[in-house]
Amino acid sequence: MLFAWCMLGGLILLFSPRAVTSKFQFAFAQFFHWPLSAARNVPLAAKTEVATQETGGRKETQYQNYIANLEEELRQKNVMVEKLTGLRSRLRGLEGAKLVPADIITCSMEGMRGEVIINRGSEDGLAKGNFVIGDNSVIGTITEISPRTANIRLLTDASSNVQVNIAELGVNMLMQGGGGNTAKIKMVPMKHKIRVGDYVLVKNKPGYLEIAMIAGKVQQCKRDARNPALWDITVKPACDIDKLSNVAVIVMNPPK
Amino acid sequence: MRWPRFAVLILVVTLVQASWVDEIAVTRLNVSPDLLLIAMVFFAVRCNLTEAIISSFAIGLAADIAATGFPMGPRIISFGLFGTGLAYLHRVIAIKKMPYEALAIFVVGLAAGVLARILALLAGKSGGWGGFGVLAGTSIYSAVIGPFLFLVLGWMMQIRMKRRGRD
Repeated sequence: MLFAWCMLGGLILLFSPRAVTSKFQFAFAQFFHWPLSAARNVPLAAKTEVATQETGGRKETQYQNYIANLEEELRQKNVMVEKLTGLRSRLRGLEGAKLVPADIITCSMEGMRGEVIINRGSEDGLAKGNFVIGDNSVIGTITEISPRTANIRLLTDASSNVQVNIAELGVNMLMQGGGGNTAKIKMVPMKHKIRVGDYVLVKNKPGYLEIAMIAGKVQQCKRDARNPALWDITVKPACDIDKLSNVAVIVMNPPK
Repeated sequence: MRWPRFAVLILVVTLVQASWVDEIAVTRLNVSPDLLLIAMVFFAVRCNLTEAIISSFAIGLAADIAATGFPMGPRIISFGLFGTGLAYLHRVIAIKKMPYEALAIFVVGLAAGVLARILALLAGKSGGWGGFGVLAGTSIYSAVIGPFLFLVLGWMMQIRMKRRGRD
């Protein structure tokens, strides 16, 4: 009988609304607030061990963060590899060449100057004269190099001179930087049919560039003011260098 | 049975269970012993049948009240049911040796825990319960320290172990 009454009491509590039964629990917690909070603050000798475990946990956290950083680095490398692999598949002539990915540190394109500094240098196998590509087009060549950085002279820099072809003409021409994010091609006889929008390709250069690669497009084509028998061609780079964040340096015949 | 002493003892155990016992939690699951379960098994095997029934339900009520945020009722019923069952069992099989006491705590802990969860589900008040790993861990932890606490409880309640005979 006692058991039955107790069970009944338990069942009543069980099926009572929780809002009602929880009042008992809160009343207990409020009434015994002081001993409950005091007991929670009782120090233990085992706390020392807990502190040690926390130190171990911190180490573990450091290792986990380190691993996370490595994984992120690996992911970025994979993305870079995918980009370069795609570049290789598009540019068959680069087979056998080493493409060194690099991030742009600074880019200065003021007045007649056009220069970019990248975070790769001689330690990465780069050398003076290497061509640099961005967005699948040639943007310049390396002019100065240090172990960890390299200066790139853009094709638009006033001191830049590279051999180029205009698509389908098959005539070697010299393209000079014109400043203001443009380049100039002069000394082109009027007999050649040049149209706005024609592709300008950097001529292949053994040891540096095995195939001709696009550098820009003809933006303007007019008679030379000093010599009316020649064209004065203005070339616009094929990529927007201001928006570039990374480039690739072509290293032909890299040491194995 | 000294009921005032029982009341004070259960109050102290409830307060310790509600506050301090987490300090000795082990493993990543934060498994801590269930002192009220140990007390329930103690009174079930050391008292007569009537006292065992009353103490089991009372301890179950204390366990429910102390567990703020958990539904009330499941532990009263499960502790009362298994405490009473254990008291009946003790009339047939004497649970006096430490290994048997540990086994009794472990089995009752598991059974009472499972029943409490089922009752909470039936009443539509599930939530806040740990998984089976926590339940098993709590039962094992309680079974390990329970027989030693029996000595303390026996001294406090002035209940002596009867070497011979059964209630």
